[in-house]
Amino acid sequence: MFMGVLRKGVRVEGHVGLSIGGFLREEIGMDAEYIESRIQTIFLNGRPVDDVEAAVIGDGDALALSASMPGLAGATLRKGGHFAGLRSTISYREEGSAKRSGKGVVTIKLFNLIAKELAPLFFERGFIMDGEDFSGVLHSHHETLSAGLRSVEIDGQAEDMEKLEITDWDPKEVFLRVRMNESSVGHRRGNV
Amino acid sequence: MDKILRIDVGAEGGPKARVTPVGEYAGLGGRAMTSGMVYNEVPPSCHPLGEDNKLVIAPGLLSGSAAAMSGRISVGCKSPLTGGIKEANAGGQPAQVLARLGYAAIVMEGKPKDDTLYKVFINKDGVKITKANEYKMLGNYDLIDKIKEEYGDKVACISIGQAGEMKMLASSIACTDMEMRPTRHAGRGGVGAVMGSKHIKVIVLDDTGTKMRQPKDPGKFKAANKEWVDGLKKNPTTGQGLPAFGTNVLTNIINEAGGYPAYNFTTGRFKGCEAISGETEVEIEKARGGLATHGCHRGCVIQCSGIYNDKDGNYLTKQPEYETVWAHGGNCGINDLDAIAMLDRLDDDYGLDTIEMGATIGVVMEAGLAEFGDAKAAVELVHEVGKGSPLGRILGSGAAVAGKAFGVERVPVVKGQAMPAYDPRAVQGIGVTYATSTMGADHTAGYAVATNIMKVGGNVDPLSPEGQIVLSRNLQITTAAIDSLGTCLFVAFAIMDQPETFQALLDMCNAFLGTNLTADDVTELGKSILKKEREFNMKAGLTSKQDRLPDYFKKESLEPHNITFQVKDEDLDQVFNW
Repeated sequence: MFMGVLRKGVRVEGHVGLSIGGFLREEIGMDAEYIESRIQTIFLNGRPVDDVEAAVIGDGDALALSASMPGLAGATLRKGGHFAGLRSTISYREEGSAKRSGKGVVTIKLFNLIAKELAPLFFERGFIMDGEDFSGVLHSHHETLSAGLRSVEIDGQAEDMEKLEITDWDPKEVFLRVRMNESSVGHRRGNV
Repeated sequence: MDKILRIDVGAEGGPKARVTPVGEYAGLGGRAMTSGMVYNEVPPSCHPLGEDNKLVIAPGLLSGSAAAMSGRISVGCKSPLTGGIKEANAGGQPAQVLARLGYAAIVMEGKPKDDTLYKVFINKDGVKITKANEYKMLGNYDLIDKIKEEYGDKVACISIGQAGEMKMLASSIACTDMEMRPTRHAGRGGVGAVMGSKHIKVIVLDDTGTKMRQPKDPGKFKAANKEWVDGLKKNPTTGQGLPAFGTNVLTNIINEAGGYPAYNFTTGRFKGCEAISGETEVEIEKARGGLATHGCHRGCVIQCSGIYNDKDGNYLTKQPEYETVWAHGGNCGINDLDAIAMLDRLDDDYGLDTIEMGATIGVVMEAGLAEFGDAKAAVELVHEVGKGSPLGRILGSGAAVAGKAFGVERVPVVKGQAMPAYDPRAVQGIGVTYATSTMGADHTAGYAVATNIMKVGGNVDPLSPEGQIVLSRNLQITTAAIDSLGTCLFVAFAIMDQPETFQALLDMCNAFLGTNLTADDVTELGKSILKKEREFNMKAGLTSKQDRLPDYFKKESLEPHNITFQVKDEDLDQVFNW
């Protein structure tokens, strides 16, 4: 039910100024082998990336992750692929990065097989999403949530499902974390 | 496949069938057969709808056998849309059935004496051609329903809808799928108009009583086929991505790359793409009891198609592919998958190329005939085509004609054929293929991404302009070869990644045909096909001057990367300079 949100992009806080590979391993907790073999298509701010260890991620950047894709275009967009030259004019190039090291927020979009496979990792770590999107999920998946939620916390307080649904989330950012047997929801930026 | 069926539609007393030995065309299949016959037998200067043009339908070299993924069928002629040679291919059942019946090709030639419409029935006992005026102006779905009543649901059909009968430049030829629905189309280049000009509405193929084609070396063939299937299944693209999401999985990716041509190629991103993405499409299909993983013909192991049901759970159309979803979706500003699925259904029924129709509607939306995003208007415009109204005749003539009729400068065509779903300003190497392909703008012309395995053309720096030219050339060569085997182009991803899978394909071909083909031989086959196609086009008046993208691609920058098409004309002229 959150797949659409993951495709649109969620925001994560972490240490930036690292390479993409470093960020995904150290800040998100991905396995190096998974990054190398499974994530075949990566975009940094809409530009296809060829070297995840050279491209540096900064505060406010958008990172999109995908498995290998069909079509010549799919092959062309692969990281470091034989056909990368066919899209050389839009490829990401790291040119003496001015991106500062420190805390930052990065938008991450997860597509296709990658979304399914990495969703548990992101739920466990937690991410920030628009309140409007959160409300949309709550209302369109009411029955599934009612059946699956064991407990709810909002800003550290135990609440019930009804409270989750009647709260006006729209103008807010929501930090969402889901655990195997409990869920935790916190308002962002001092809204509540 | 040792014989060719020739149908002289201009014979006295009505069309006459003549079966000849395969002769000089022995060993050719698919595109090698269609382009070879058109090159040899069709005067390049002829009118595409006149008596001298021929429509050639050929299964691939491996079709009709147990070889996995061997169900593509090629259709060739002089194209009424581009004015050059054309090979359009499709999936579905006909390739397998036609090959089991022993035909290497069906050729329709001559000019009908009157306006009588005919059907052709082919089974193991021979060929029967009968009048079929009762089928006049039937859509493909109604036509196939009538064929089922007469011949049952085990036959395979090749047919045209109203657009083909009206000889529209955007018309397609339909092939029935495993459920005997007319959902697989040889879409490009107006091949349906050529079949319409021959007054053949439908070819019914019945392989009852025939056997699967047998390999020369059954043991080696069986082993190679197993290796081949294993390779396809273990590859992440052919074994996981395509079966799970279909080709429309590309929507989010191409959009993210800024190469998704939206609103008639005015921007590289579409805000409504999530609503029409492959992931969303699959969620809808599953929720409505459709299918998200399905093959278009027997023997397909990739299963990239599906079944799209309407809101009430009733069949509407097959899973609309990426190109269709883009053409009728983002290109027209439409973010409603149900409307796009309806447009796909209508295109299949009237017998229209979805890429050409979506591009055409995008052009006339820019002209103000309808608002971008107006799905209802788009549906009505396709109905105009099906009715053959004066407006429909213009729209059914494709984007180039519609652009001229409505005074639009931004018309995304090469050699009169609409561009598919990748903006050449973002992925410039694909623009090289759009510009130089013998087929007009065509995403499948340079598709077989196995040049690294085949080592075609030596090593070049892919980041240099020369590298883009060489890569495009090599892609076109390997694609021409793959098109001749009758294998689905999607196998390209497995053979690109896995040398052993490419070798399995070669081993399978050799075991089946009793040959000793090497990668070099396959390359030479591709080159020979392209040389003939290129020569035909030159004689038909399509020179290097037509190997260009429309001017606006060099002048209008595309968001979000704000980039124009930068490959120089003199570099484009080097593609066929090998």
